[in-house]
Amino acid sequence: MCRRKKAETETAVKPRRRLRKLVKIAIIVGLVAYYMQMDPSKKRFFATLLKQARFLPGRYYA
Amino acid sequence: MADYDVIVIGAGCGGLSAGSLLAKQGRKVLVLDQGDMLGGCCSSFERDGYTFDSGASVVEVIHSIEQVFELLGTTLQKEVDLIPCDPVYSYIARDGSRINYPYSVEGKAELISEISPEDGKSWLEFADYFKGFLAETLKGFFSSPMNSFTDFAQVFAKTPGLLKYMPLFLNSYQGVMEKYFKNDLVKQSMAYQAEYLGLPPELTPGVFALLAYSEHEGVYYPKGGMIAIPGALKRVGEKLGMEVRMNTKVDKVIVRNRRAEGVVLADGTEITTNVVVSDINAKMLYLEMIGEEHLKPLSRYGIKSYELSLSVPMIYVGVDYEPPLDAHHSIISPSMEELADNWWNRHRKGLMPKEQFGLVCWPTKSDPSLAPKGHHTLNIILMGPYHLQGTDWDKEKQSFLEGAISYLSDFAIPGLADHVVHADIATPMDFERKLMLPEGAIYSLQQDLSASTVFRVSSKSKSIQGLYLCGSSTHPGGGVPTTIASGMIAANLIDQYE
Repeated sequence: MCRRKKAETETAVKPRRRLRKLVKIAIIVGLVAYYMQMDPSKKRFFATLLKQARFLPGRYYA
Repeated sequence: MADYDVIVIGAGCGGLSAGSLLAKQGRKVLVLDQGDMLGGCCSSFERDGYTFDSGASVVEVIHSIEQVFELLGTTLQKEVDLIPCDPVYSYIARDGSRINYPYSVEGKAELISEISPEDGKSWLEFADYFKGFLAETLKGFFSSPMNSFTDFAQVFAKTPGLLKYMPLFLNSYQGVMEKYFKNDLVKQSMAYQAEYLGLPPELTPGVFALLAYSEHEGVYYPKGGMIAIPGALKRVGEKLGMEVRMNTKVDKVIVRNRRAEGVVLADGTEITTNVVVSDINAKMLYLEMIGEEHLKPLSRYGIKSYELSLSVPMIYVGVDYEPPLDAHHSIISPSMEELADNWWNRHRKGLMPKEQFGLVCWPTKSDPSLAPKGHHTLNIILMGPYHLQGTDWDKEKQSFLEGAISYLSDFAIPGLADHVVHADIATPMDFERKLMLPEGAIYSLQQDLSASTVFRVSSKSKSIQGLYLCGSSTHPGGGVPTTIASGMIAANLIDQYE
């Protein structure tokens, strides 16, 4: 009985996990697609900001 | 018992604002400056009978300045005679044609409509949008500390109207201008304001597109030169007991057990204090005057990561004729794309621009007393990186000066070269030597989003107790009203914590 319940739960959880994974991939693909269609100037704006991202924790404590 | 309650390092507008407000609090305040130029980048000096401004050339968005003088028990208007500038600026194209933008928003709309009716309509929408944004920011954004996410959240909680403008944070100055304006000449005529932040329009955060509107809330020139503003802060502060010593260089900040306890002067004298306020470049303060060994590792990493702001050569010219200009400020600027190209392919590689661009300031238009009768002064801000490829500013300054005068005579200021009585130049290296600005960085630290608000150097040091910062290294950033506001923020924090 317990094994059946466990199997049923696993069967329910797997599609949810798959869905979450798909959503994450869709967001990343969406962001990449959005970035790719930006004009070069805007790409440089965001690329310059992203390059600075690693300094943010340190600058917060500066 | 300490010699003073507060020592302020640097007699710039931020330091004088903090010092005078702390004196008003009843504290014993000593302001020390290594040089003889009160106000630092917001100062004036005399040569051969002409008065020149050292850096800053006008003030706008004066609310913070008014607020500080009110807290000091007086008013800005009582202490400084502000002369309104109208037109707000004249845009000079490379063919010599001009667009003179009036103070009136509707007047500017009419002018732009002559070039592009569609952009004329958009200008009114732009102005309306940024009028609202400016009104919201003045409710607290400029005068509140931004030392933590809590501070940041509190500002937005106090002014929820700011949330409507969040999209500006996700766009560049160029992006915002392109959203509103389609005509190339119109865009070009409003491109240069981004350079006030020391970045080309494509890297300047979209919130600073505000600058293209804020001029229409008033641009002013103080009678007697820009030094009138720090001069007024000093005068009022001294009446409240503040002491100012110029030509007194601070070598080190004394730090014991992570607490600021005083300063050591260049001549070895130690002066003790309960609180230190720094109005100098934060990198210089932490890495040279304090020493990185006193900083927490993450703070050290953060401080070292900041890029210095733009440096500019400034040319000071006294002439014996009335220059054929139309406004206190004249802007010569290429397109936003050319400004970007200059940044990536020339400025960052140590090369001068292919064709110069910048700001021509004509102070005697507003205040004729700054020059002998019939004569005029010009302060000219052009472009040129601190690090020059294969050469340096000491070698290039004379040829740069002569070249600039010749260039401007060609199309922007006809006759200039034939009427020069006095000509001098302050290069980025001169700014570094005279004003202790590392690499001549006039706005201290570069001000993109990663170095703004909570990511700009904290007003209350997170590494050293009893140490506070003001000036262009901290929130709100570079500029006369913003550095004065930073002094107010530091004084309020000291009132709260010390």
